[in-house]
Amino acid sequence: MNEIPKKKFSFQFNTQTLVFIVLIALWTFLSITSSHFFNINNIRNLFSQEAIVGVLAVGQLYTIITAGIDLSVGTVAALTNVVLTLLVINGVPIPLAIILTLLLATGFGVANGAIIYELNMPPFIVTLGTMSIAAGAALLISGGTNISGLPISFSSFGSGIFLGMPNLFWLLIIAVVGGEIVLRFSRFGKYVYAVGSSVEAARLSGVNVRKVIYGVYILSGFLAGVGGVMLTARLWMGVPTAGADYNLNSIAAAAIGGASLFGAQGTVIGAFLGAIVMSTIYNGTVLLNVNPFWQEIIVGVLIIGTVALDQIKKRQKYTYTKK
Amino acid sequence: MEKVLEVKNVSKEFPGVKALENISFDLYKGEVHAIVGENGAGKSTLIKTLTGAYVPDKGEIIIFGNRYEKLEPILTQKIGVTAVYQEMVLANDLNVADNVFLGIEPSKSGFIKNAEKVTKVIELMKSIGYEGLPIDAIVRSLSTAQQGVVAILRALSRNAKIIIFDEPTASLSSKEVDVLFKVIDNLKKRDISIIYISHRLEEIFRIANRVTVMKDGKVVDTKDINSTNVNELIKMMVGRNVSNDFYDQSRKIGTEILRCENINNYKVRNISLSLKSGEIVGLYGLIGSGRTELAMSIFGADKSTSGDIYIEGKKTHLKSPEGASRYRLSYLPEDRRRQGLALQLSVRFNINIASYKKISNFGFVSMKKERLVSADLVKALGIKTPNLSQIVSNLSGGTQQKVVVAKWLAANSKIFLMDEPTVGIDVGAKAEIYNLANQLAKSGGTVLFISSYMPELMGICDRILVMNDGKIAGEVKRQNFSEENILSLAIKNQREANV
Repeated sequence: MNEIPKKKFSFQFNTQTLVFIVLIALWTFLSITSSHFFNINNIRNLFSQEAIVGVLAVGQLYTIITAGIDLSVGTVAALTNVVLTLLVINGVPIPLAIILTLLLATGFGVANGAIIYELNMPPFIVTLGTMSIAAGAALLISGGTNISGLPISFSSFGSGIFLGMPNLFWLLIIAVVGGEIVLRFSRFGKYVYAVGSSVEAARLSGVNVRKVIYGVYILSGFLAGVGGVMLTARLWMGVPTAGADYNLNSIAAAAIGGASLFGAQGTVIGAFLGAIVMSTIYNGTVLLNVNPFWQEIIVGVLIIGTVALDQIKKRQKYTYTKK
Repeated sequence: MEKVLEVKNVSKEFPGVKALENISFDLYKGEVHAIVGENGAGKSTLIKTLTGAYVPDKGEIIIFGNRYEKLEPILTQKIGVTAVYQEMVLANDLNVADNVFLGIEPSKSGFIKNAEKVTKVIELMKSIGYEGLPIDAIVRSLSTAQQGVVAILRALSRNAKIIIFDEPTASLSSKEVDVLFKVIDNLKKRDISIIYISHRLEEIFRIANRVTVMKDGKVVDTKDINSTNVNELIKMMVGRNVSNDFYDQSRKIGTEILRCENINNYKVRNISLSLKSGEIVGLYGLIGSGRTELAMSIFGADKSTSGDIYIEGKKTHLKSPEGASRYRLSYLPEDRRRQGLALQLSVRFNINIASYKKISNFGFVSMKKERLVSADLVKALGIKTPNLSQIVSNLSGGTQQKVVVAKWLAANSKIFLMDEPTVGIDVGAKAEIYNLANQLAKSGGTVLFISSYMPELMGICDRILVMNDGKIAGEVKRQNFSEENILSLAIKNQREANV
């Protein structure tokens, strides 16, 4: 009776598993219906499409687990893209330019965290504001037009292949593995969940809530910067309007992957899978000659579907134990 | 005199508790009838029965000559019974006039007649002799007393003839109390009948005509205010036996571990106390006396705190719970579901949440230690959970409380500030919590046991500190334990108590 069953590895039928199954099903379906799908070039293309949203989704996920949100990731990435382009074509050495733009993006994270924590403001509003500021700044300094003239090395990195997969994909893998390890095994990661579950309980348990809130938004800002650098490599120019879709797509990836906007739920792996599912749908609709306007409708249904399934599952569990 | 309300032999039972037992009570036209009793005596249940929130199991209620076996909130409002609660239920962001006429706005084809509304509010204010209320002020910006007046106006706008006040003065200053009493006087003159519930016995002697004492869900007696006094009322409110079942004689009281000097915050004033190892000290006080606020201050969770805290003789500066937990201080919050636990997370997580620093290297947590620490404590405290990954929200109240204790044991705490640790826990689990408190003290720790339930404090504590109105009104040693001693410290006003 007193013996506690030790679970070495708990593999529950959770949302991540569900998304994984959906993904396998999608891939199987597409492999059968389209001869072009399971082609190395297509897969590479799919993964490099996914890479940027995936990286942003990792930071997004951290803020969502604290019951917050970061709406600014996409436009901060776009701003990073524009600033980096301008710096490089004006003669700043590439490594220095990258460091400077990453600092800029991280600065947005610091600002988000500071305003949210110190002024006790809702993350939605604060990051809505910084989203708009970053978008405006990108347009302002670019004059509203695309900026070209980047050295070829950017483009060759962006389309480069390492160990059979695109460079950008490997950057995503680093972000995902690092993000998952920190979230799952570090003290900071534990506190992220604790704050998301109850700020008051975390505080009264001796958790420094300020560090956690600053931490997640700084991480999210930094990863938005990384996403912006990747964007520059992929587009080979500065595009001030490039980030528009990334904000909501990163949230969608986290949500499909099992993150709860109420906090304390979600994993990086889930968000990663969510991002792949979304890119697969975009890719698949093109291959199958489906009207591309269907893409967003399918993604919308998928978001609501997975979250609904999760809720239904929880309700059953609850009534089961209540009995 | 005309009886406006009569309660006859009303009983109400909840699973395991007889909340009301054969209650009989009446109210005359234009009188103030006070109800007094300890926390949990059944006053609130009685009110909820009168306003229709609860349906009595037995008995009948007669209002204005009509017999009712059960009431419903809409019905009671229609016949003119309204309660003004301690926590006002007003729409905080609307203005005074909007609040008074919320739901019954004077209107014509869907549009509100504002001028008429304002005139009516002014009339109502005149009728209660209180005209200092800005009609277009947002309710949130008003003082607590003014909000109370808004609630009274709202009741009057619905033609209330019986108004029930539940602890209306708990958060009022003495000046504000005077204002409220003037209003109540005017209500009386208008033949409105009032049921007035309060812990502050002196107040009752200022405004009530009669007083009913309740205890353990029963009416002890109803008296004319002129034929009784404070001491007699206290005597009637108490009278339960002290149980020694949970007192552990083998605890050895050692050296001082915690000393607080002159703690002040927005609620408590000049509190000094000292806790020794092996000791269980009770902290009694009525609701609103500042017990939780004191514990929060000691634990570093209240930024408005001033004063000195010494832990094992050393002066410390506790500015945050984070700092306090480093000094082996812990706090078990009253609202454990909201403040004590990360509800959606696992037992393992909750046990370790305060001590991840101890089991991590370079910021990374040792999963093995995390599991071992929680498994050990689950076993040691007998936490009933199917496995360590169990989400705590699905556990019972007693088990959850044990998880909170385990959290602080994992963090190596020595000083335990327990705020109502047995609230909402069944009897068997309560006994386990008492034993746990004994164990904690026995192993060299010290426990400050905050409770509103006197029998449990008298059962396990070595001494009981009594708070009253933000101050410590006195200390009662075990040999002098009696409900009368403790309650009179908790109820009487400070000047009287210090004599």
